[in-house]
Amino acid sequence: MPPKKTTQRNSQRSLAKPRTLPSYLIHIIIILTIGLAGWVVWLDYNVQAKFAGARWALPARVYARPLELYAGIKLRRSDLLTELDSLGYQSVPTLTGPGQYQASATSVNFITRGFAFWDGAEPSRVLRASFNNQQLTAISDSQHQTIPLIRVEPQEIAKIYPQHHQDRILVKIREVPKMLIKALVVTEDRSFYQHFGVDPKAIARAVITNIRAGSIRQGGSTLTQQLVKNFFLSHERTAWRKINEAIMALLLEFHYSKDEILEAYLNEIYLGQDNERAIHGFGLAAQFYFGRPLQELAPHHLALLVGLARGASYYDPRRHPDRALQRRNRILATLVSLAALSEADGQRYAKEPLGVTPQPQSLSRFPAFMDLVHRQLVHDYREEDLRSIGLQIFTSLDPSAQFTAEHALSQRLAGLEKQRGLPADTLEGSVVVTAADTGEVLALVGGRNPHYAGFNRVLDAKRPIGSLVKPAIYLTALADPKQYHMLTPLKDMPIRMKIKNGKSWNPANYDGKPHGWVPMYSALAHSYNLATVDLGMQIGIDRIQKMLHTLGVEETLPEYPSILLGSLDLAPLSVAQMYQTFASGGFYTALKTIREVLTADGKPLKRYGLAVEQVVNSGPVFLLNYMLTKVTSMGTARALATNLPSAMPLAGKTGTTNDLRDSWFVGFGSDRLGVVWVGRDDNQPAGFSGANGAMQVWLDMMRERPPAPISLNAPEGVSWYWINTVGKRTDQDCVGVTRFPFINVSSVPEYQACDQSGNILEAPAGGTSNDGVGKPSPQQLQELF
Amino acid sequence: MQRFARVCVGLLPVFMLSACVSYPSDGYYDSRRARDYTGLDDGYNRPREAPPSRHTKRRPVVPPPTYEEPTVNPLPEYGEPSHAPEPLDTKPPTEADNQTAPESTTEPHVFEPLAANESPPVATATPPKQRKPRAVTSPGVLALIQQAQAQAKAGDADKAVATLERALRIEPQNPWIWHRLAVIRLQQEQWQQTIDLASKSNSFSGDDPDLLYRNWRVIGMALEKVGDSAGAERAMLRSQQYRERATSSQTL
Repeated sequence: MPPKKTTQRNSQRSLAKPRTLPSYLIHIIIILTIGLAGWVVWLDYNVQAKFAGARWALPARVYARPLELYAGIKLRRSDLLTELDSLGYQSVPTLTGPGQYQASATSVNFITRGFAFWDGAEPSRVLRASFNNQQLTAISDSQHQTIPLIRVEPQEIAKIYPQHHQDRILVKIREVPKMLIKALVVTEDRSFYQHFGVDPKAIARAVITNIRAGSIRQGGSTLTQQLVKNFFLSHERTAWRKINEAIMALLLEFHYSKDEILEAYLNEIYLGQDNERAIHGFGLAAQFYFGRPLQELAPHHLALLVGLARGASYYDPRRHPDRALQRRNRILATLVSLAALSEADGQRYAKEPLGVTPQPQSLSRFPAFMDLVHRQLVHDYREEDLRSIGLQIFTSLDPSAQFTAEHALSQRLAGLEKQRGLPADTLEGSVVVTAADTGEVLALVGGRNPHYAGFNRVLDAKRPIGSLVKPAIYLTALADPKQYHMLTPLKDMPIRMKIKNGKSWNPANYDGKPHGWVPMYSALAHSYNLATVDLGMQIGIDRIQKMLHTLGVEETLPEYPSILLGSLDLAPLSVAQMYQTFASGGFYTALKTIREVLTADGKPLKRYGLAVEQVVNSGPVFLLNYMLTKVTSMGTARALATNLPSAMPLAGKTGTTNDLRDSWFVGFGSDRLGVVWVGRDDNQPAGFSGANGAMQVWLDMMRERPPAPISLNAPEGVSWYWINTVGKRTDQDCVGVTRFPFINVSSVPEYQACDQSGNILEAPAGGTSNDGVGKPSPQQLQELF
Repeated sequence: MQRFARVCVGLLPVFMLSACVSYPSDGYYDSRRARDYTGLDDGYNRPREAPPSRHTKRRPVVPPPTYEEPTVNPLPEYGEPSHAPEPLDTKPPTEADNQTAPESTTEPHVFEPLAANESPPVATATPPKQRKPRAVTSPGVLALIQQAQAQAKAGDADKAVATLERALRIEPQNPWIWHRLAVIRLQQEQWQQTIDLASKSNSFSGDDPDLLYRNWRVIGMALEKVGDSAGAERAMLRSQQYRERATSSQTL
């Protein structure tokens, strides 16, 4: 260290011969002293600025929904275990602390970690959850007291990183295991609590060792110096930097306590690399290597982490387990030799395996969902702040629903390709699942490879929606109850329409055949195109456009009649928004992913509360939803009735576009709504109707956890009537009667009695022709009912 | 080396002076540069009234709707708005409150007054068979509703709303939860949300005259506030009809 020696020599000389010193030298010394003082002041200024302000840029942390446990929740034992495993809980024979569970055939005992939610802290508790085959039957605490409800801590699903990709979980010195501090101090800086920033003895020792070895083997840096080096300085090894390091270490020690310095060290130190992401601090290292919070680690885990401080890549336990083990055991031995650990414990821990978890997936596990979260966040927060102020973002993602949806899509698409002999990986798809009444997005799959963070089909793939548009047309009609009801006959006959440029439009049915007069509910159930065009032209395109916007569609809509058959391009998320309004009974709720945003220290910033807006009356929507249950019981989606019998009635609608390019399905019960699109990215025919493609994915997804049935409790102003086989009102005990809801009492068909055996007494007069002229004949209607 | 340290320590008064200087940003992230979102949001969780026009305004899916009207008075005590004639929704929902009406009811439930030339409804069909009662109140939901009530009483409407939303995630079609949300919004003077939430509650309330009575009253109060006195009068009339039905069904 030549510069330092020079300084010392100068000062010795000046002390030895003060009187013979020429005046210019005095000036030089004064100038040098002022210069040095100025420099030290400048360094001090930096040290304090850094230490007093926000020391680290912290990534925003994004959480999934916390799992709520209560008696009766449809959660199997395996579902709870999956959740606990994802949270890094350890399966143990005897419970001793938070983050542990113990599973038997019908119950799970576990100790939660506790979590500070914005609206109150959920304390760590010892719990017992009991299960039968379908659900959680009871939850109680260690005193066998029944607990009505508990929130398990939420899974962290993603982070929004600072530009430099440093990641850390801040820890407080008081919360850190004492063993970690002991191990760190004995390994890195034994006189940490005695020195004042630099340790001359350690430097001397290092110098001797290095001279003997003839190369640099040992450093004499204190923890304070290491912190300074990481915190303020570049990594070049120059004498100038060494001097700065020493001055700054002294300054740091002057201003701050040992604990403050140690805490900063614990959070700053580099401990590993995960692709682009740099792992800093012991808090994050515990999660990165062991999948658990630091507080839950045993001494041998802590020794391993301490060993990484010297060389995170050289001692990487995943790449160099032998080196890591050796280093860990050497640290354990040191602890034993200094009586920080008993000899028996030392030997026991040295025999433990490393216990490192497999490398966590470095990419975001749910890129498509995160994409939507991010798009919603940038409306309210600056990108720079998202990446640096450590926001905590609580979302509605249900990891279990997400995995089910991802699995259903990728498996079914592969199955469909195999079944049709299509080339592998040509089909694509997307899925979105929402909570029916609150509009929360529970799952979002942007493609069959859910980890690919590229094109997000749910948000950005706008495709023609085909018959998915029809419910909007029928709802427009039903919203005018004086004119229309579920039995209103529609004309399903060939039609030719003149459109612009002198061209004509000749819509046709999917099966190519006309069906004559059909009641409205049947036309929708079977998705008849001609009947729908008939209805749509009666209503008018403008009213239908208006209805689509009312329902929540934001895209600009074409004005030509083919919109009636769904030649309008929507993203699956828009489709979900539109059907959400049906599923929630005519109440619009913007689909949302974010529940609340908190600051790094848990103060609430913003809550995205539930807001509903009644955009369509409940009565017409109820009628529409009842018609949509006919789709799944007797119409194009009747496979639902056979595949999910216990969940019926469910509402659904299939959608297929020209040449089988797009296959759509939307289905909902009273709790969840799912939208599935299947097709090809190059927009070539995929070869699947809505029922053959998308609906199969939907079924696979919903079979796993069936939705709750649609509620058929008629809202205010809607009444049920029994209708016989010819479309007349009759009594319940007549033969072949079906219930239909009506809004307008005067539009209920006239009464027709039946005899004692239930047969219709008299046939009303009516035409018999099937030429599309005049009202339908009883025979025609009979076929249809 | 040690002497050098002492020299430095000798300079400490200078450092201490320097501590009073305001610090530059050194390229590292500085919290003081961050935008203050708390101020931006003008109080935590204060949803504002929805804009009146539904059909003309394009609703952004992203972000969740933020409303325009920031003038919301401080939250009144949970309990009765001063203009209300009697305690509103003081009855906590018990299991009995939420039991579904017997499914075999033959009572017609068409409450719109019929026009003179219209024939009265005959042979109204019973509602289709339901697998589940309309509003199953589990102990978990009851606990949340009680918690929300306590939070509202303590003047913490935001937490009460959040707690009720938790309850809704468990029982999304429980009309009592929606009703309670409407009452809190009424107290927060968010009239349009009050109307929408009470209507939402109505859509699940089936044949429960007591709940319909409460919801229509809440709607009436809110309509009065938004200046629709004719609508308010109709709503109050309806509320009164349901109230009579509720009391008569009790005496039966």
